[in-house]
Amino acid sequence: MNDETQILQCWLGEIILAPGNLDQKLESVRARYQVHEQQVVVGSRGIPAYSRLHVYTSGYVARLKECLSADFPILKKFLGDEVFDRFVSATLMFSPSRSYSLYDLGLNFLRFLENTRPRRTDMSPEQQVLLELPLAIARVERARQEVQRAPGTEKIPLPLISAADLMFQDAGLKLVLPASVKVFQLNFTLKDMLVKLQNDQPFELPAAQTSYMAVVRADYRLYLHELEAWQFHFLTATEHHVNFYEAARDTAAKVQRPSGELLADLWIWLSIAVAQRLLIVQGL
Amino acid sequence: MSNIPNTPRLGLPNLGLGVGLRSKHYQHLLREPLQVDWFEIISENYIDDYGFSRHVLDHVRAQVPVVMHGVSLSIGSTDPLNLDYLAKLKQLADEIEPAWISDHLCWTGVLGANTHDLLPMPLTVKSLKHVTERVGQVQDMLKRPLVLENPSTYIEFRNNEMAEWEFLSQLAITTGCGLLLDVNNVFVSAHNHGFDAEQYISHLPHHHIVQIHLAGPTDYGDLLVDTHDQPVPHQVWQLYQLAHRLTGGVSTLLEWDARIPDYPDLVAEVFKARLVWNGNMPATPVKASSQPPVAHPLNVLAATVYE
Ligand SMILES: [Fe+2]
Repeated sequence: MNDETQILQCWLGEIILAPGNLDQKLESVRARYQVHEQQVVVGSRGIPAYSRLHVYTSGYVARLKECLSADFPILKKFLGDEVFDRFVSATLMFSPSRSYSLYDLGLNFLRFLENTRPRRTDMSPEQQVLLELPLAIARVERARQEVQRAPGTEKIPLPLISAADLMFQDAGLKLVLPASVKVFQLNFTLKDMLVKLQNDQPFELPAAQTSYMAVVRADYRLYLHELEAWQFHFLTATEHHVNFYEAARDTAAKVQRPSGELLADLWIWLSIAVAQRLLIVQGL
Repeated sequence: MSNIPNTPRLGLPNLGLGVGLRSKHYQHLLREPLQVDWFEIISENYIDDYGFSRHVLDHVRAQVPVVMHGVSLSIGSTDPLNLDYLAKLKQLADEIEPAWISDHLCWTGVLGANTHDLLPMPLTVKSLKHVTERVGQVQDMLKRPLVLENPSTYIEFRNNEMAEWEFLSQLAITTGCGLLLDVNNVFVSAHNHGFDAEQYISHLPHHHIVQIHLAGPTDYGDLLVDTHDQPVPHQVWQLYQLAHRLTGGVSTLLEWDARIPDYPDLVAEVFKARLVWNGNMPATPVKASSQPPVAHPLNVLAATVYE
């Protein structure tokens, strides 16, 4: 291995990644390497090493902040720039990028929010909602990116089916949840607030109540759909049971409803769900 | 592998004038004629993405050549090569069949960390040997010549044993790799370190230059920074004219990654290259700024809104 090159790379890498402002970074790296930056870097044209290194250190933080701001725009509006930036800086400090892809940095950010969220039990439902909201928004925004990049349904022709096809065909008919759909169970209703935040409209904090939502891409556009409990469980069930009746039976048990009643609801909803690209039908 | 070609551009085609494919222009490109001869993509923005970006890329690729330009190869790092990344790069290349694949003479991180910046190499005999070996490995894996770009730099190491042009020249001649000459980066680095930009360009092995980058930097007082957010200034066009003459004409691409103009204005900027071929220099000055510098802004894919 190339010792001298490796030491220089570790030295510059540490200056860029170390916490604090440039003075603090340089102080810790000087102590660790027993060398002053002027002994490492040429100060040609009278420009000191300090100003030169500053281009790299300020650029690092600014660039990754810009990247996460683009990945989590609604969360940034909800938290405000200052709080959002603090979470970003903390993520970069405790969970810096180790991937070639900046797409993965969004996951580091989400994991950081998950691992540091307050876990208290002595709070009112309203306070609980307020504490859970940032993470819920972040999860939906991450799902948006996953859905945006997933192999989608755009190249699959929309089948001309009637609900009767779905209900009365034999076991040959299969339902598949596309990778371009993500479903959520939440402790509050979120869609209204997300849309208002996105459009910079005034919003109210949602009330504590179980709700269900899907993020879906259809024809390269993104949609948020609020779901009923049985719709959520049915979509989730199609991840495990491709057969329509098995998924329906599973759902009936989950939502504790008579299967006949659920089948009647599914009968109406399925062709809509297929048209909304929430489900792919195979074997027609 | 020693490969001293005597054909221009390593035998690769002169694609003409191109621009970077950026999400801001996706809707325009789906509706309107492309106008330019070719596009360059940031490879990492399309790896593992099968959504709208890929749809637009396929639309563009069906009409004109595309070059894959990466920022994560980290060819100069003392960490092992990232084989996972190389496999993804190869897969994308198999799918879209680029005219060539390029990255930078730089390293992006060490000990597993990634700064997502293009960091300067120590320019020593030992590091040259290190990069030479790795270029060979990458070329074997990708089964094509790698094309490497000179980065903008803000520091030079005291232990450097050669100039950057010397390092790149030896690397190209030894490995047979191509060079992506970024004349804006030469202008920026020459200013920052006080070397002669024209001499740098004159000394490169011109048969290895397969592509030229144009861009506009920002003047932050002492240092020029490669911001990719400005029109191409007069000095960069001058270096372009020199490179154009020395190479006999190679694929030329305008980079613009922040404060991106509307598509017709972007195209008008790269078409100024035709004026330069005929000796007419645009008089654009270098833009000055007092804001904190941000080098190499990444082209972050714009967030899509919910319908
Ligand atoms: Fe460039």
